[in-house]
Amino acid sequence: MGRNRLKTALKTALFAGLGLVAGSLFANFRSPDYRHASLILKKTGESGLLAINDYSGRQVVALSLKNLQPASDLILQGEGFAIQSWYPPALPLPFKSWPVVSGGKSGEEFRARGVRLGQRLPLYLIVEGNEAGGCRELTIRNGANGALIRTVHLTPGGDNGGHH
Amino acid sequence: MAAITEFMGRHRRTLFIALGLLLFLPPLSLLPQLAGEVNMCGAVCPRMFFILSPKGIWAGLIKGVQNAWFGVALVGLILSATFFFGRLWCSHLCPIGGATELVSRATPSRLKLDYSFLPAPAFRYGYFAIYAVGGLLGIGSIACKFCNFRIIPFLAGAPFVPAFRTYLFTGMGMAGVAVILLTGFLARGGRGYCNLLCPVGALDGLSNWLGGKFRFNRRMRTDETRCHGCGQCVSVCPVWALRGEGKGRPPVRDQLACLSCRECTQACPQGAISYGRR
Repeated sequence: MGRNRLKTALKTALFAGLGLVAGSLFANFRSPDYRHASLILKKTGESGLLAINDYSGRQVVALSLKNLQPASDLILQGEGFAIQSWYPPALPLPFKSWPVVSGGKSGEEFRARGVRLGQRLPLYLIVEGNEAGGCRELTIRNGANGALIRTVHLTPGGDNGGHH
Repeated sequence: MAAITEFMGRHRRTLFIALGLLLFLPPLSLLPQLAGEVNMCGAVCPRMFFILSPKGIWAGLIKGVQNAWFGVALVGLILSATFFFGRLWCSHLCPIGGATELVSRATPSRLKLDYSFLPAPAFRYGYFAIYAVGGLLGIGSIACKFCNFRIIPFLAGAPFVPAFRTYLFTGMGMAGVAVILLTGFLARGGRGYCNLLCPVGALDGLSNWLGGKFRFNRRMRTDETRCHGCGQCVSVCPVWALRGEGKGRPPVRDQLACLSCRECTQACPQGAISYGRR
């Protein structure tokens, strides 16, 4: 009986340890072609940095954009990357209103209309080829009057700064 | 009419899973759309709010609850229901575990992987500890990485939404798909992810175990006086919650893993397993 208990306890400890190891490996997993970032749109005219991976191939930056300024018609534009959003849903239900998105191919402006105050706009920036020392710029404007809301510099180099 | 009733009775759980898929997954995403989302991320995310934040535990929790209010409400409802009635969400409605189980049922047996040798609760709570406190301890955060509540809706919505395909074709997306493939679609029972890695499943298992301590709560129970120990229930359990040698002795049920799916009830030739109070 005592031996069985000891065996069970050891087995439990071993597999709990394996779970800890698996969790640590998963937590440290990084993919050079993918990065998650968030951006809060507040004051108008601000500029800031957005670190992206120092990777020469195509990479995707998942950008969670939170709109905390009054303009609801947003125009996003940048050179050298495409912009996608997962809005609106594939089959939008009639009782909900969704941001209307259009454009976003590389070099083309991406427009999102109806982004309410406080609403989150999930975006994917698809950066095609990341040349050494290169820095890209994303500008966000008010679609209603063209006023600059924010400029964001995409700087390769991840969390350790960048080349900007 | 009798044929329909019989069909409904025999496939009740499958029909509930199909309902869960319709309610939660793209292209319809009915409940996420009610919460202002198109998938199970953002306000609907059920698995991020309880991660302990390195920026401050309480501040992180409050922010998490504010950001994922629908997911918090959903998890609250799930855990309460599990405490009193067993894991009905995980077994009957969860679109994520349901999807992997349905695909696994259609997968040829020779391709399936068997994880039943693993003492799942021990592994799961080791993994869950890192999931919950990894960021706080500086180990790193799992959060959205390998997220089952992201990968399955993205796979379901990929034919309709280009942005979902964009994510799935990144290294992170493909790693997530590989994990779902190995622990779900290709796993015997289709519930490997649920049983080993799902943080909502880990919380739900705790609630089930805790509820099992009380006599008035409903659970899967084995009448040991009727059990012949044939082991058939052990072989059909999708989450390997039943342990027994099948040599005339009743199997032992682990309430931390039991899914309350009632597959064992249907498999038992003696009718010794039932769902109810003690």
